[in-house]
Amino acid sequence: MNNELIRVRGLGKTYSSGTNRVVALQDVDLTVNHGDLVAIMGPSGSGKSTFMNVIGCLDTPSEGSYQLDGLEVSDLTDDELAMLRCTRIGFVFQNFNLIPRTSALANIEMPRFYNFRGLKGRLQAARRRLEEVGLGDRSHHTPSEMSGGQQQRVAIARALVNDPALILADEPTGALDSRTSEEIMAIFQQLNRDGRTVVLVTHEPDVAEHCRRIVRFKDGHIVSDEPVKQPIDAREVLGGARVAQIA
Amino acid sequence: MSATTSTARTDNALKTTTQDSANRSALQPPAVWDLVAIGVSVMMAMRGVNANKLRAFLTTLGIVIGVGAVIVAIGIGEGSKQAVAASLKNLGTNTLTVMPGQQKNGAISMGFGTKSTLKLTDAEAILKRCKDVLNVSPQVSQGAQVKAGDKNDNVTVNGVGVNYPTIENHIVEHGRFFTEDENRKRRRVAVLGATTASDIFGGADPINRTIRVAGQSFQVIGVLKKKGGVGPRNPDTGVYVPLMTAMKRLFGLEYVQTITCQARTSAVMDDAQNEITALLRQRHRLLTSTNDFILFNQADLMEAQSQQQGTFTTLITCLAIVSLGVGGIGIMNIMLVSVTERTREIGVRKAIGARRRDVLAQFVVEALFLSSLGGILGVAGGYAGAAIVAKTNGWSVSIAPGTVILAFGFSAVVGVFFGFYPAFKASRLRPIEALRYE
Ligand SMILES: Nc1ncnc2c1ncn2[C@@H]1O[C@H](COP(=O)(O)OP(=O)(O)OP(=O)(O)O)[C@@H](O)[C@H]1O
Ligand SMILES: [Mg+2]
Repeated sequence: MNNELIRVRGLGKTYSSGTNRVVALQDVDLTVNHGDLVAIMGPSGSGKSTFMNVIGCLDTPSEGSYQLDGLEVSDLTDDELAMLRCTRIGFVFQNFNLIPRTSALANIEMPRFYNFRGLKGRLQAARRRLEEVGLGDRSHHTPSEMSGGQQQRVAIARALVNDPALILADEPTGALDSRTSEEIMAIFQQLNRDGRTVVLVTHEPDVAEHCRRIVRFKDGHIVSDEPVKQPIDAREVLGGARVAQIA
Repeated sequence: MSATTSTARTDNALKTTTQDSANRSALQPPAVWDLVAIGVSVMMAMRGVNANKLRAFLTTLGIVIGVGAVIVAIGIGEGSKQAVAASLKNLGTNTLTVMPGQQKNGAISMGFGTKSTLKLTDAEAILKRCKDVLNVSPQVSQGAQVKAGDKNDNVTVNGVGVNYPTIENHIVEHGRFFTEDENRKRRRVAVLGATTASDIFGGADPINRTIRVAGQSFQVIGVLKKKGGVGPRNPDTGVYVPLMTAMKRLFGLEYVQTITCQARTSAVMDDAQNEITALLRQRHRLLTSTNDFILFNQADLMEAQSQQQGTFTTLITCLAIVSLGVGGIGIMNIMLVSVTERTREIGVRKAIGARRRDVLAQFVVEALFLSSLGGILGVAGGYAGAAIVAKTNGWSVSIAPGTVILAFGFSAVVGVFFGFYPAFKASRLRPIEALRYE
């Protein structure tokens, strides 16, 4: 059986504004199998976010091919792309990108409204996800009433609500302290154990060491792609108590 | 080895294609989703309004102000235009009015009608000697208290000649007008204006009842038919008594305040005017070119007034347009201030799976909802405002359906343009562009 979830070949992205041309990605090849947990690292400006946005179908590449679960993404119509983002991909942003003045529960529920298979049972699903990220008691709080870590957990719950196979996270711990980062990583590891594929960008080696594999970018290229010999288990770091709640 | 690889590849490729089409068709919603998605967008729009109450309130307010102001302003303009037209119709036919001239107190002008120069004999002479004058009605008018039982009212008491109803196009609805005999004998008889009659007597029949005018008893002998009119000189409010009774018994006057003259036809108005002027100058023995009386043609006066009215209507329409503009700019500001947030929200929604049409439908619904809400409140407010203006100022206000449609249409255009257009633009962006919008 075809085990490839992400298959990227010869991917390139060039930004051009007027006479300025910035090559953000050039000739990137990468394959991510179902069930992998990948960290993407690299210096600032090396093209990590650009890559994630293309993989998450938020942006289109200038050249090359990207297949998600065997589907050539560039063949899809806008509406098909929307449905792909809706049901197959959960994207977690560094700055959370929650809808302001809207409760945690309503934020988490929202992707269900755009999923024609997900309209039924949306509220229960949202509640379950909120509990899974340990915020069952915060369902009616709005983003401005929550800490960064809590907002990020709501964002993760939202990414999960349509039960996507792929979770993408661009610096999900970038704005959080190390303890909160550890809690977030515990969630990602649990999702991965449940069979979901997770790709995340991070600047922190500590965070990357929680993954099974580290891919390094430099100047729009992949410069290394290595497995992590002994991934850190966030449950152990946290001492079990917190994770029991999450799992 | 190379053979196996190639077989595996073919297998893989085959698998990929079948899986591909299966995968792709899984992304197609069923036809009924088109409808469901509209329902979802309505719900999202309502949640959006609920989450941004202040913004929604300010947007609605802008439209309410614009629409309300237009309806009140155009209603006032239209109403006063109609009132003037009605007064023109009520005017006595071919009438000329003579009033005493301006009294000069040193260099200070005291205004029209302050000089006591017109005598009753002047009126009689005009009737006798001006061949183009058919009828005259000398008149004195003063405010006085009128009492009947426990009701009392402050109205204008007019001492008029017997020809007054003919000249001023009045019809006696109940009873009769007084006679020349009653005038000469200074009888205390009174004819009431329609409004005054109902104010004092309610529904009861006033004929042969007694009223007290400035302390003296008068017998009511008639009631005039309602003419309709506006302002302080409304002919429907007033008490009409014989001229001589008014001059001698009520006011103690030697002079008359106006002489209303009716020309034989409208063609001889100018001739009549010249005859009256010449006669009065002669009778008053005037040597300088200045007249001690004023002679004017009521139709001309009304014409001028209705032209003034036109200017007033234009002015008030401009005011309405300015209010519409202010309302529109208010809405525009609110929308522009929130355009960044809205664009980001659209980015987020697209990133989590909203299609372009879902986003568009949401913002169309929101814009339509807010602008029609504002439109309805504005129309209601406009009607209320017009009613208040009509009541407090005694102006007549008339709201045409066209005005309402115009105001409503404007609110829809403004609301949809400023509410929807930024969303329309944002919906075309790729999700990442919308998310990064600043
Ligand atoms: N919208 C854009 N227009 C023009 N250039 C862009 C745009 N977005 C990114 N770039 C450029 O593309 C390159 C890669 O940017 P990218 O955001 O992918 O870097 P990154 O690896 O995520 O960096 P960081 O770690 O700081 O987030 C940079 O040189 C950046 O300046
Ligand atoms: Mg980045």
